[in-house]
Amino acid sequence: MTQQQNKSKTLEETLTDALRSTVKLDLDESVKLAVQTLLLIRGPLDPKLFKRKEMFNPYPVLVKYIRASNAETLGGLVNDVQLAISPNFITLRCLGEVAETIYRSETKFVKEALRLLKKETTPLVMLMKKIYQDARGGIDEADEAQLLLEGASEGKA
Amino acid sequence: MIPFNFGPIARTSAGSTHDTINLSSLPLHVMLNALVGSTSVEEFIAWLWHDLYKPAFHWVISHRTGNPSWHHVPGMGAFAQAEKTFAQRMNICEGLVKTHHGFQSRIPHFALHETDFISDQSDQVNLGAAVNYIQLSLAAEPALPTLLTRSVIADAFIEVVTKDVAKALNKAFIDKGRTPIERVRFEFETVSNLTFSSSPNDAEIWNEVGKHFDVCLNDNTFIMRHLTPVAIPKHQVFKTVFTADLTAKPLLPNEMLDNTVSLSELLVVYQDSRTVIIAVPQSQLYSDDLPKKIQDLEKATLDTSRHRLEQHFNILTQKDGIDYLKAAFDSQIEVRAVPDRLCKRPRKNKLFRPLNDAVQHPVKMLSETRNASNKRVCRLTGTPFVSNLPPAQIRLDQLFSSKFVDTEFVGFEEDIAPLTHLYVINSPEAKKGISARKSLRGSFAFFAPASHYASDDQELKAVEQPPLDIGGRFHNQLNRITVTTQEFTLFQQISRRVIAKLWQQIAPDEHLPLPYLGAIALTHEKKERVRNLLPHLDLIFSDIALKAYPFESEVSAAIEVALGTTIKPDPSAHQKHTLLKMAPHITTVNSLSTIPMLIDDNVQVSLTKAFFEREKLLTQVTNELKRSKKRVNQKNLWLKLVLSNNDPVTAVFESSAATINMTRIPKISSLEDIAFKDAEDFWDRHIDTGDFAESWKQYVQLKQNTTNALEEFPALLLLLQSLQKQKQEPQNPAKIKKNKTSAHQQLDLFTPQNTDEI
Repeated sequence: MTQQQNKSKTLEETLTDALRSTVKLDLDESVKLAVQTLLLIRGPLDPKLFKRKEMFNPYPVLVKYIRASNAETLGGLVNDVQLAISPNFITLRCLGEVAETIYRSETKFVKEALRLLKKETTPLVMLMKKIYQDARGGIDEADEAQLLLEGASEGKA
Repeated sequence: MIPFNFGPIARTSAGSTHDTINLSSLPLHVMLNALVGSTSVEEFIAWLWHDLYKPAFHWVISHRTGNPSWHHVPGMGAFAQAEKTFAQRMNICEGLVKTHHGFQSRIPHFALHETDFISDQSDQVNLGAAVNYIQLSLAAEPALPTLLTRSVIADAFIEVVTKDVAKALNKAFIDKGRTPIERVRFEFETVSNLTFSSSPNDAEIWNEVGKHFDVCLNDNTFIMRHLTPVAIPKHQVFKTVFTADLTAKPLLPNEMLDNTVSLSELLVVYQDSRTVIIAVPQSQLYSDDLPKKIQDLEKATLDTSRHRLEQHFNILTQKDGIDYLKAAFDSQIEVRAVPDRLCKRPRKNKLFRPLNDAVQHPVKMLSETRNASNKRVCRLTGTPFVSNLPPAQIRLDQLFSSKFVDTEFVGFEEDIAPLTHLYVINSPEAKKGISARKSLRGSFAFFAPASHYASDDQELKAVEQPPLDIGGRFHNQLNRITVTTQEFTLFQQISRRVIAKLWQQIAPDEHLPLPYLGAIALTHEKKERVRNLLPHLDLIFSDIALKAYPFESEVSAAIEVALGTTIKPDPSAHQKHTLLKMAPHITTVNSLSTIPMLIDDNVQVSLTKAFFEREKLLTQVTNELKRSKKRVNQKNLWLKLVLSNNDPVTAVFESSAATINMTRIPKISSLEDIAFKDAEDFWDRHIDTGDFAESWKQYVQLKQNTTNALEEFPALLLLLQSLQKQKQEPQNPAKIKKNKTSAHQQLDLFTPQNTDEI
């Protein structure tokens, strides 16, 4: 995917592609659902968050709020985190199917996905980030902050 | 896999048992024959090349017996013209070499034949009938408090005898107006492109193979060149060079690993924790008054032992006017000639000299002492002894320091054996103006060759049928059962090289601490070296492959190990950490071995191959976790988090967050940002494969492996850093000086391990 194509991709297109990627993954349904849940939280974050003076990095924040949540359902977890980070989230059509699964279904996959998200939050967020960034063309809104951090982690900041 | 190749095999029979192989190589066979069977300098030279053509592997069916026969004798068959040439060149009588199998009274012949000193070893159980063996026996239970002293005495004994033999051989050559041989070099070449007719005649074999062999003397080096035709080109890798050093000087690790063997290695037939049996030449070359010689050797062993103990190991041997080392030699140590030697084996003589009788001699000494009416028993080692020493103190506080805590290891008897006294008087709390001694307390590392190698009776198939094996000797499998004393020497040789390879990792330019015994012995005075050895112990779990054309086989040599160390710096470790808690352990060198190691005075772990494999995995995974803050080390924290059931990525996130220096965080980022970045770097290094599903599977695998490693070996938490192989980078003196000048520059002195990067 070229840089030109990346820039022209909308958030909706990005999330659609990312969700399609997760469906094709040769992984347990619960893992796929956990990643889709994270995309559901990550995707509609208010764009204004990324335009603040201090660069907003959603991924560690996701980790923090997922681990802080006491929700007993997957839907409750999504609510807890979204409300904590960005109450002004954007609704997108492409998220409808995932939302339905998460909020309405009570399959064993949903329970396992919730367990996984609480137990293995960081690696799942890491995987979601890679899928989201790939769908967006290798870069996302948080990357500028990440670039600054690379210098910092080597003691150069 | 550690490969060895000391040259091709030398024999396919063991006295009465035929169709067997013995992995002892040709160089070992001829060197040992020369050293123990020669009755003159001429014979010594002749024994060196008596089997010169065995590497041609020319086998035919004997017309007389119908059995395969190995044509190899210089002066006979295809090699008929060789003896005259080489005998003239070496200035020895023609006939000696040619008749080494068949006695012919009308021409010059060896005084002793192989039936007198090797073939009679039968099926692995006998010493050679006509060989002079000298034996050191230590009547002591093999307990650790006396291990170092016993080993120093054994090393001194081998040194004294070896130097004496070298001196005698040198003198014998000079007395005969000959140049002394200091080294014997065996060159084994291979060639794969030779084609032979279906029934090659002598001329063809000579022209293609025989004429390429050579025997010559170059200064003090006796050189033999051999050529082995091989059927398959890849088997040319069987070529090798082997050098026997007869100077009695100790060898450096790289010399040993370069296939040079010392005279001490060649002469030592057997060694274990209680005895050393060493072969010496016949009286015509060595000594015609062996009893007197043995008295001198015992005295020299005492003197050399004392020098070593006091000067090299800082061990006191005398106290309050009592010479405990001399007392030990008087009552617990014996040097003797192994009895029942025959001048020559009479025909049809069925009497043998069982090796086991000699090996068991120290046990017999202990048994006799145990039954003596005036016997005393050592309360630290349980050794019975009879001695003129005054009775030892009864109260423990009069024997040990007030910090001595290992009372559970002390028996109820009320005496101390002379050898054990050396342990007692070298207390770190010694009073009366004697400085504290740490040699027999605290950290300790001991690795010595042992003669108890693992031997399976196994059928071995040659890697190929040698091109000149017309008789089909190697067509079928042969039974590998023969453990002659020459094979004992082979396995000692392998054990010594494994130990030398270990030593080479930490001190490549130094001799082994006990070079004649082939042993590493390190005390608390060199505790850093004990720790430096730890990362390299995985070597002991290597499999050993021995090439001995036309065979290649895995073998298991044995070593005796005792290992105790302190993982964390503890200045008083030598006071608390007594050797009484440890026991020497004999293990074979292979992937199934176990080494017990005492750590930090109260934990003993078993090091295994699996332990080191897990260590390597965890080292690789934690290599970049270098943060630390207020004595919290990120790597250790990560291990604890994984052991507490956290996944490895979360453990990086958490350990990073706990060790980031907040004062150095850029204003635009948070602690979580940086910790997450660390976790992401970890993901990219160890998990990301470029494919999402595969990456997740890789993550799951890593999680399982790391968790299993720590659950299986929790001691890795303590040992991981000690076991990691780290390159020691020399510090630049100029940089150190510069760093003293300002606080800012001083930060550069810290290694990355201790530096907060942010």
